[in-house]
Amino acid sequence: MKRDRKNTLHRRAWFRWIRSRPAEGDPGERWAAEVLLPLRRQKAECNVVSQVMARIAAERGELGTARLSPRARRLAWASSLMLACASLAFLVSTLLVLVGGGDEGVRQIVGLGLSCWHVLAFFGRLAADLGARILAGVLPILRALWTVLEVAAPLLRGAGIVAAAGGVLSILFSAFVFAGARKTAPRVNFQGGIR
Amino acid sequence: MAGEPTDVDLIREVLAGRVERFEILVHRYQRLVATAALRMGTPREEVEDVSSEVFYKVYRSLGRYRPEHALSTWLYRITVNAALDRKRSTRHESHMEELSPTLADGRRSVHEVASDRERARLLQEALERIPGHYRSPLVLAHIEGLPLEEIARILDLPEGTVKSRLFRARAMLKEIIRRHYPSLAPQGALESAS
Repeated sequence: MKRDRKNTLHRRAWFRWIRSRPAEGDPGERWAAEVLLPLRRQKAECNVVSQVMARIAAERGELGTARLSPRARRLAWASSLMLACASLAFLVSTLLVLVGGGDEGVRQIVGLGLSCWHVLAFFGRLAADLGARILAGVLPILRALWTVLEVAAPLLRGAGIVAAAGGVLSILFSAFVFAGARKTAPRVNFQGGIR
Repeated sequence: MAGEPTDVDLIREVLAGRVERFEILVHRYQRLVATAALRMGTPREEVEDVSSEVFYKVYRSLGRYRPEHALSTWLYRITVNAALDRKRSTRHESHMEELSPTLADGRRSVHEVASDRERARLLQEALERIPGHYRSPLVLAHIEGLPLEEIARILDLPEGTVKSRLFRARAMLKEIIRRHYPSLAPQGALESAS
């Protein structure tokens, strides 16, 4: 135990020594200035003007198409919307002409659509019948359960109160027993022996 | 030079769509950016790439520039970050910096220049051993010669933090020089400092 504490203290001291050592050993500004003098004499000459401007020009060229003025953007938006409306009108009018003119293809499509609708309606009716039958079987059971619950509610409430009272009594009894046991329990020292 | 446009004027013009005016800014600051990148430990053959990258980043985020600070402060910040990023991604740990003839200023002897080159190479190696967040304030303060408040702005740190990082960075450098590069220690200065 003592050895562990001693080791910890030693370790802390060692860590503190490591951490504080460089800050303590600051040689000062004059020393640094003198030592770093050769690096201060270093100069670099380079000409990156053309390189940078070429890169910027390339980027601007790439973005040139994307960088539209707000007016041009508004114009593009409005024209595309108008085009969409015109396309829709053309499609609707074409369909109307086809339906009105009694076209063979349109008649077949309408017939197919009606058949699909009949099939869908048939299956829908089947599903609704099935649901109604299930509900008709389950609803009386649910109603009976509800009635039983209504009848048994006072009984359940009483049982709940009794259970809660039992719990409180149990806690009180445990506390009483524990207090008595503490009074008579043998004392234990830190080395694990009994006093 | 009354006709010389200011940085802020040029930036406004560029933002207004006269992109060709950015050329003047690049011309004005390319030396500062390249030298800062070099001093931050970027190998000389990559200095041009880093500088180009810095100016491109500046152009892309020109709208975020705040005129209350000097453009050079902003450029330093982007350069420091770019140099550190480049360092992290390429890991030029063992790369030795070869200094160009521009180092020679004509007034010093050939022997002095050669000695300076060797010292600079070793110093770059020593600086490589210092973690980036300590190296940046050290380079900006003692090589670029910037004041503390500007370094704080460049690194986006409180002045106190910059000061403490400088202390630690100097101490680290001293320790590294003492252990690995004793020839770099200034005559008598190391002994007196320790």
